[in-house]
Amino acid sequence: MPTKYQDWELTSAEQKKFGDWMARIMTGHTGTTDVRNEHVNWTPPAKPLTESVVGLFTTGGVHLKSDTPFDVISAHGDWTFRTIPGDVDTSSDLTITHTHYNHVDADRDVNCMFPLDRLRELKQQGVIGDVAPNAYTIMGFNPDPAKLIEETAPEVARRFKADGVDLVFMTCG
Amino acid sequence: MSVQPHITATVGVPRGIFLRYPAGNQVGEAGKPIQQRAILTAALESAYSIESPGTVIELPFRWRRFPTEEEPVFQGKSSGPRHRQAEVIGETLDTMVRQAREYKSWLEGRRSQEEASATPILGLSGALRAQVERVDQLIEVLDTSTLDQYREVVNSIATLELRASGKFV
Repeated sequence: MPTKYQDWELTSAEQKKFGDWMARIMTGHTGTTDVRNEHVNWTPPAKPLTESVVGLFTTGGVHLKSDTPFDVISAHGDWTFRTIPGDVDTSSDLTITHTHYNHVDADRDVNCMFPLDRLRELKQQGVIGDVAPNAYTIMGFNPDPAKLIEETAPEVARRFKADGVDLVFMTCG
Repeated sequence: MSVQPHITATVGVPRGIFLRYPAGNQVGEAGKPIQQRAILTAALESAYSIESPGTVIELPFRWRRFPTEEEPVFQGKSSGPRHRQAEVIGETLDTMVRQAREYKSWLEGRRSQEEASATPILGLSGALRAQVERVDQLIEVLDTSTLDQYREVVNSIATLELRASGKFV
């Protein structure tokens, strides 16, 4: 059975780990801002899973090979997003541009991080209602998330809504 | 979906799903669709079992110890560095968990035998019950904090090596 933690309590070791990590990023990247959600939004599911259209979003830097790669050179990161059509061939049309995590496994099988083929199978099995017509992706390295919050997040949310999505599954890099 | 729940919880999300897998493997091991489907389904079902914002659920699956045997099928090629010394530690950890589970089963069997015995040994049944709990604690330590430490050490070094080598962008 899964274990449930209400309002995840950080241990002192985890607090130190987070503090050290932030300090390291702030030293290495000018303009880093520590932004946290002051208010966590809450929307109860409107439909059962078997009737829901499920969308996919990742910060893992996945994009179409034919699309503009994410900028992994800029010290300020890249807040732009990419669109991936829901009927894409995951074995030939996708690539990953992200230098901040080990994506060797995802290079061999993108589904271990961006499970589009698995979602299609869950639709076939009747576990979910449908797969969203588009998936959206970003590259998660954004020391200052201002543009991500002001521009990218509202636009991606608007598109998911326009696509008729009921539930979004999000993975990180 | 998170492999670093302390970060996810600090930033704040409506529904968090924690999996003790490496970064880049939030939905399972590469080339293993049965495992990936199980993790994805459990995560999607959590959207319905979580009842208030800020809740993080830990899934029971463990890296390389998923219950179903599955030969991996890859779509692309790996370009990752291999650290044989680290792999041996990982394999040893897997063996220790498996052996601890086997030992737990044996202790439980021994306890049933003792309880059914016409000539029980004084205090043995209670001792066996207590030691089963201890073996459970041992498995918990191996399968959580030990596994986390191992996984993070290996992955952080591999990521830096890959970035420096230009083998991935």
